[in-house]
Amino acid sequence: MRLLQRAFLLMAAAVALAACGGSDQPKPTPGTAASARPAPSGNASAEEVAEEARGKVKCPAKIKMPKRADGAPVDDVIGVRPGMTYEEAANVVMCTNDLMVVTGPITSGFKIQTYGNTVRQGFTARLAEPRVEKSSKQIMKEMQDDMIARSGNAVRYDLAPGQSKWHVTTMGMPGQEIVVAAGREEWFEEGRNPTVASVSEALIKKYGAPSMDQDNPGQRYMRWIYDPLARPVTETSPLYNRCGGTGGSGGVNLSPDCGLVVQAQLIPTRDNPALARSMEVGVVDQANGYERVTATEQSLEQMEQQKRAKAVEDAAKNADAPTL
Amino acid sequence: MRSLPGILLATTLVAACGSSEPPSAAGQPVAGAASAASPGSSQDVAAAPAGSAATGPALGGRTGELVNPDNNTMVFLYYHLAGITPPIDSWIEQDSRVKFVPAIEKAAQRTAIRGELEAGLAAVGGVGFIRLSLSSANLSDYDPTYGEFTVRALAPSSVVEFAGFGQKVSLKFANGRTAQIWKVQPEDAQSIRDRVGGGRNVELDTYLKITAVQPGPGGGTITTQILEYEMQEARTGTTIVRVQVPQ
Repeated sequence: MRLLQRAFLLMAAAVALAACGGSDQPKPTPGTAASARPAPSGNASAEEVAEEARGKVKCPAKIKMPKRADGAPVDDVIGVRPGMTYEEAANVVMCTNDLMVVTGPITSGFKIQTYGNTVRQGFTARLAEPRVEKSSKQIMKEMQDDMIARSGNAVRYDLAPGQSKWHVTTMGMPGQEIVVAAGREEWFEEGRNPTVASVSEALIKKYGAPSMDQDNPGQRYMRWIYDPLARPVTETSPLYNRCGGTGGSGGVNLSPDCGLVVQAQLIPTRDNPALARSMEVGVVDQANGYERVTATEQSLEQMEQQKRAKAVEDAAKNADAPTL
Repeated sequence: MRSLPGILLATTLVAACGSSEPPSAAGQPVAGAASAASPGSSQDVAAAPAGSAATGPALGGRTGELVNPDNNTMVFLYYHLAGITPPIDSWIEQDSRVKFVPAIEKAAQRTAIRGELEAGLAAVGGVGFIRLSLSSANLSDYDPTYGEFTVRALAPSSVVEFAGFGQKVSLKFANGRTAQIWKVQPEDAQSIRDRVGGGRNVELDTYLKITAVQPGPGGGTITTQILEYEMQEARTGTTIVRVQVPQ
């Protein structure tokens, strides 16, 4: 007999192609890059690329999810909250910027048995960039430059100043997926960088006094931790070092022992540590997310068992008898 | 279409062995223990009678009780609760007493083992409650912010696993979120901290009511409600606290 303390550790790792969905894939969310349409070609501005990918997006987004209860912990990243539907979250994300394009759905990640069903496990979003048709010479030069950079261990950042990206994690039965976690990363435009102090003040104004606030050289790290009873976790709690958050690149821990966790990371500029180069903020509802993953897995399992039982029942009625 | 980052699932398991033995002789209630539990979320009680009226019958009107069941008994119980016909013929053939005996003795062994298995299955018929002892309560340090210890062995993430007949049965606690909280007045906290030595030397006896069963591949999950628990010092066997969990 063994007592096991179990936690799901989920880390961004695999690479999936967005266009690999089967015929039973849920209907693409309007305005997302996954919508079935021929791949556009030719030079285009960022606005044109965004328009092609987004289609019609209604802003502000219509949200059916009940508003946060009075006194409940602040649980949103620019309006995206755990518990929203996939479609609501995608709409809110696109409304954050006219150039924001959602790419998804992500259909892999949580290692659950889906029995061939397509479970939308989240999406990513980032600002559209101009499309430039490149000559073979240009492509070759870029590849060469990349190779030289890699061999020299050059640091390559995912974002450039002025850009931002999202990673939203969802879970649920096909067509009923809801947000479990959401994270956003933003790089401030050069010459318009806010101070680290002003960004942290803004975060405290929105989320309250953090459970954890570490001002280390090279990063300011803040975390708002709640237990499953929505009580703030302090440093004397056994949960203090056990409940992690998420960020703009995705990756979440889901434990039924932890509640809501908001996490922020501020990186100063190289030249002036008082100015913020980038900010990453994420929210995850761990206990409810864990329940959601477990419930989805169980429902899919039940659905499969019913399907198999029906097939056996049908076979008993209709199948041919073997010739012996 | 550009590539998307996926998510890799890894499961972290922190295991601690649970004792299959029933609790050692109940220690004397410790002075101060009665005041240690706050009436807010839990309270000290004398050992409640098994299946008392307050608890009501468990899943499907079951009132029977198992005390520190072994692996095979829990597999029997799972099959009975889930209403799944156990593959007795397969279990018999997998039994080493059939597998590794001369052919001439196999038939007799099959009959004997079938009798054992059928008796085992019949014995769990009306079981709706379980008394389970765990070798460690995995007690946290005192949290003065909320005036409580956390009995982490009862946390929502806790799973007690039983493996038998090639099946794995997991036992979980539905009300772990609240049951794990042991409220203690600040003036009592230090003496408890001194006694429990960082929480490593605390054993746990639980009284559980079966509330649900969830079949799964290769076994299933039995969900229980924690009705009561008692923590004891491992070295001396003295009782630290008895708690009846509000339902």
